[in-house]
Amino acid sequence: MATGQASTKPPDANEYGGDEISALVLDPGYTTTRAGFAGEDVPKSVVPSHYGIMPTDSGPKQLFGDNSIHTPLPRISISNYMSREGTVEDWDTAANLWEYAITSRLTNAKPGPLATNGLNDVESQEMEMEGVETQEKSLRDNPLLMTETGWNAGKDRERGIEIAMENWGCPAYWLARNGVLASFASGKSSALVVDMGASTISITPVHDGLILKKGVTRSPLAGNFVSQQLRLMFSQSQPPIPLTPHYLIASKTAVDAGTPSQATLRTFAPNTEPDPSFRHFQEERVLTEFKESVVTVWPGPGRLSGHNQQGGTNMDIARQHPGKPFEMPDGWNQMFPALDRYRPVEALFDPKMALSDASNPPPHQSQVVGTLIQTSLAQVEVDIRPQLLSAVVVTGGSSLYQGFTDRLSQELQIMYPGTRVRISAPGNPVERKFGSWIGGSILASLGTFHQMWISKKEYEEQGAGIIEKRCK
Amino acid sequence: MMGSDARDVMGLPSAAPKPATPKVQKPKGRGPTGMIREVLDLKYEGAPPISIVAPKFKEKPKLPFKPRQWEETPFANSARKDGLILRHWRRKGDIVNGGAAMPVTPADSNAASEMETDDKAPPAVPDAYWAKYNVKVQRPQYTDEQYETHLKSEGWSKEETDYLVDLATEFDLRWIIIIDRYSYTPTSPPQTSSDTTSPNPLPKPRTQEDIKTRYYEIAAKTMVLHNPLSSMSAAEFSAYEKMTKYDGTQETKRKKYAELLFSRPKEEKEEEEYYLRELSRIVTNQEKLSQDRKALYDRLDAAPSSTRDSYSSTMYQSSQGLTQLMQNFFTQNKNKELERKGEKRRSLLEAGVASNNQYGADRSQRHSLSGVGGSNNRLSTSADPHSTSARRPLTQHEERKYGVSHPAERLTGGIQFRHERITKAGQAKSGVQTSRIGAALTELKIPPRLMMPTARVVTEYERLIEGIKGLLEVRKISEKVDGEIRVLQTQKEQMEARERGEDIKEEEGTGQDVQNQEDDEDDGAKTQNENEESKVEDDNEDDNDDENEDEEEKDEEKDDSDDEANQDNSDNNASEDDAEGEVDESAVAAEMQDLQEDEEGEAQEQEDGDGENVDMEDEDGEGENDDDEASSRGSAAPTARSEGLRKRSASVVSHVSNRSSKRQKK
Repeated sequence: MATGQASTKPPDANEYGGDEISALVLDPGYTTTRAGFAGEDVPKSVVPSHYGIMPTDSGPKQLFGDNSIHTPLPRISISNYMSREGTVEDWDTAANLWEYAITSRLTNAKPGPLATNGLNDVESQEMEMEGVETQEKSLRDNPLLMTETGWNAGKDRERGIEIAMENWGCPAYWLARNGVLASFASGKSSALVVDMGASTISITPVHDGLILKKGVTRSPLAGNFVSQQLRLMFSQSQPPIPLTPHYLIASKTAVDAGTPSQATLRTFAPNTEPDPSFRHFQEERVLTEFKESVVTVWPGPGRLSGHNQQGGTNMDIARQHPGKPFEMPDGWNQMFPALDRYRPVEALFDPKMALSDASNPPPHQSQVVGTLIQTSLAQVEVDIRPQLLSAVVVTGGSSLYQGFTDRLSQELQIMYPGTRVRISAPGNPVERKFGSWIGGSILASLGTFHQMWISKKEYEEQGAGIIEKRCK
Repeated sequence: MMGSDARDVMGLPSAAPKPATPKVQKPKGRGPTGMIREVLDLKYEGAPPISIVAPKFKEKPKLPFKPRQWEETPFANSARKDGLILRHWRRKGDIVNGGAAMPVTPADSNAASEMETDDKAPPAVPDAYWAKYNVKVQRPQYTDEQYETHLKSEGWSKEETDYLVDLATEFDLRWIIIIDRYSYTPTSPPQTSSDTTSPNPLPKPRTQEDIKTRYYEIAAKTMVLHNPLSSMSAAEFSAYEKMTKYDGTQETKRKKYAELLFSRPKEEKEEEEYYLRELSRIVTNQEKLSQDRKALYDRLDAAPSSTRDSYSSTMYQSSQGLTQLMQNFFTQNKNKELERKGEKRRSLLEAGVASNNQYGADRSQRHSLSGVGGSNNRLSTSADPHSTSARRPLTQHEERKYGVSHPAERLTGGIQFRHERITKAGQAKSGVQTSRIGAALTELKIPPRLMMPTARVVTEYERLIEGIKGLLEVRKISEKVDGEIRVLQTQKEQMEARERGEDIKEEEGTGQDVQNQEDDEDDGAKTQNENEESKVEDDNEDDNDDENEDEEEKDEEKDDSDDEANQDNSDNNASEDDAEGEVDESAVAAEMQDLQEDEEGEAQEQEDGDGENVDMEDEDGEGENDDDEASSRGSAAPTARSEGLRKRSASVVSHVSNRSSKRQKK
């Protein structure tokens, strides 16, 4: 018998309900845009959502991908096609970047027949135009599943299907809420999804695979807010801590902790300096590194500004905790005391602890994660509140602060003492970062999802408005 | 190297190797060492050296099977209306999972053909396996007229109802989502009818209960409209019933409680948890306790039954036997020890006492089985005063707890089990008696096996049994005497009739008198029945009859009731028995009150029947009472029952003696 090798056997469909149709999953986020084939466990193509714009003689040129945007090209500026709300802002760029994300790693434009592929054509303007029209659509074989935030509404929802159907020629399309997908990634159909992204933290109650729109709450107290806190902390410390991104360092020598750096900075010829947005973007990378290695969440009990049972303040206890050294790209380094490690993220739970200045007002109590969850649950029927609290799914890259889930669990336990609070957050950082993509990958590879897709035919018959009717 | 590759690329036959072969053999020592061969070759003339390697690829692995091909198979899903054709990879020749094949209509494949760019897909597309999972909720159907006639409701427009039904169908009756998405905005009435001043009605805030009530109402009514109640299947009817029984206000109330439960403070939750923990602990303990008790009972049960099987164990059934056995063991042990130590001075008796002592000490540690064990202990301690000083004196409470007693009289040696006392107490000389005692106990609702045979309970139980025995005895006697009286009466009447000289009419009259008297008694019994618990009384009556028969069969002497000596004997017996019964009766516990009352009533009745002898009875009764009081000294308060009994027994005695004396006279 030829059945000896298990790898040649298709997995039993009844086992996991999968039936893959080489669908693509595209999950745009503020920091990265994730794309990959459904049924895989990680997105193959993770592209930064920031893109570079380089002015050239023939107009500005868009640069996509990690390899391009971190190079200090002449007069390069960085922007993001996503808004700070977590929704797509610049649709034209979005379409280009998505296509780049998909075609650069996942699908290549299939070569057509030699006669029509355009390569042998005479170089002329008319012929080229004709060629564009007859060109093969890049995704004609792949159904596409896209994600959106829980508060995405109106015309924005329709743009995705327009791009997918018109520009890429997808045979089928679906638009899913990323909260739902994150709960699917945790194996739950009902959950309270806490999505801690870069630009936004959002709470999405999910019931039976559908979001409860009234319960969706969000606030900007997320990763970028912590970065801003770090900037404030650096500038307000005495003396101010310099923040020099990597690309500016030509050479450096090691210095002792706390002493000024001895680095030679790179100089740019006039008129070739990168835009300030580029520097800001590069500084963010340093801050991300700092967040990953130094910043940690006050482990409790209670808040950092609170008192413990012995009557002392938690701040005093925090001062006794160990610090952590960090070296800036220019060689400046220092041992950061525990209080400085706790402080920047404490504002996510306790607005009183936030650093502020004239341009960065302190956050409001209604914006912290605990209040967001409270507001969200108050909008939800009481019958499912305990159920939701017993399935709190934490996802998003910014939830990876050390001790974040433990602290969140504590806060929820204090807020809801009569109910069992259970947080499910994958320990694997990849699963946490790409939670909604993984959920999309699961959903799009399910056999039962075949009947859900919006087909091209349906789109042509009913127009982009079909999204409102179908994707609830 | 280069030449060979070039030839390979051009696909020319490798003709070169042949001439190249001799060239490889270079004359030795032609150039300086240390230079690369190629460089040397450039310097000196000659074709470049070519390594002769026949082009050879890695061998194909020989697989034990032929690999099967996979192909991207297009398929359609019958749950879709648009005929979307998707593709998945399937093994060539495999039947599509599930085997369900759906022929696709040409129209569908045409519609999908624009996706099929290669146009080589097979026209017949197998169906997807998953179509069967596309389950939809049945939407309640109603026409405008039906709505107008049946479904109209206050506060609900038709439009909103339609909206609700649509939403419910769309979200498959997931009410939590329906209420989340529910946002009905009434369409403004047509502007043409400007005279209607009714303003645009504001959307009413709906709760989940509102929309559920409305939907179930609609669904139930349309169900009946389409399918009358009589022709519904059981499942349909139960669904219909559920929908009609939905109560929105109840739900609102329930939700309020749920909210309270959800927002209760930590203390309440902890308290509840504590109680639940305690409850589970108690329940488990209860189970364990009852199991232990059951095991103990089983063991006690098994012991007597095994006596018949093994002869050897019979002798150890009694307490004395056990004690003897134990003493034997201890003596043997001690003897061995003493022999080993060479101390043979100690007597065997001493060893026995020591063993007893040890045993008693052990017993007092745990819950002792009976007071006898405790008394043993006491005996031994008195024999060994040194151990007493070392021991903590027990308080009164502890003594009660461990069953320690300090009897004044001498006890028989050895151990004794309380359960033996119980079984012994319940048994009488005759089987009939035993069963009668059992009947009396069941009547009192006292189980034949006591649940908690503590020392006090056993004592009370014994007293109760003694009381019952006494009463039974007394009843027996009284009945016997009654029978005799009746016999004597008839004899007396016969004699009188004979004296008068055989007057048939008078004889008949006396016969009637006797009859009347008996009737009276019966009547009295009947009224008694009405007054007292009738059932109990009936049983007693039956018992009386039975007893009379039994007694007559057993005691042949008493059969002959004409004999005077016997009569006297029986009288004496009666009085003795009565006295015994009196002693026991005075000690009977309060639980026996019911039975006592019953018996008393009976006695009273008896008295009434023998009304003529009241004077005599009083005289005799006095003497009896003196005796009784002497014997029943120590009992706290003689009950009313004992009083009645005394009277009754006295009356019986006097009655009998009266009758007999009358007869003697005659």
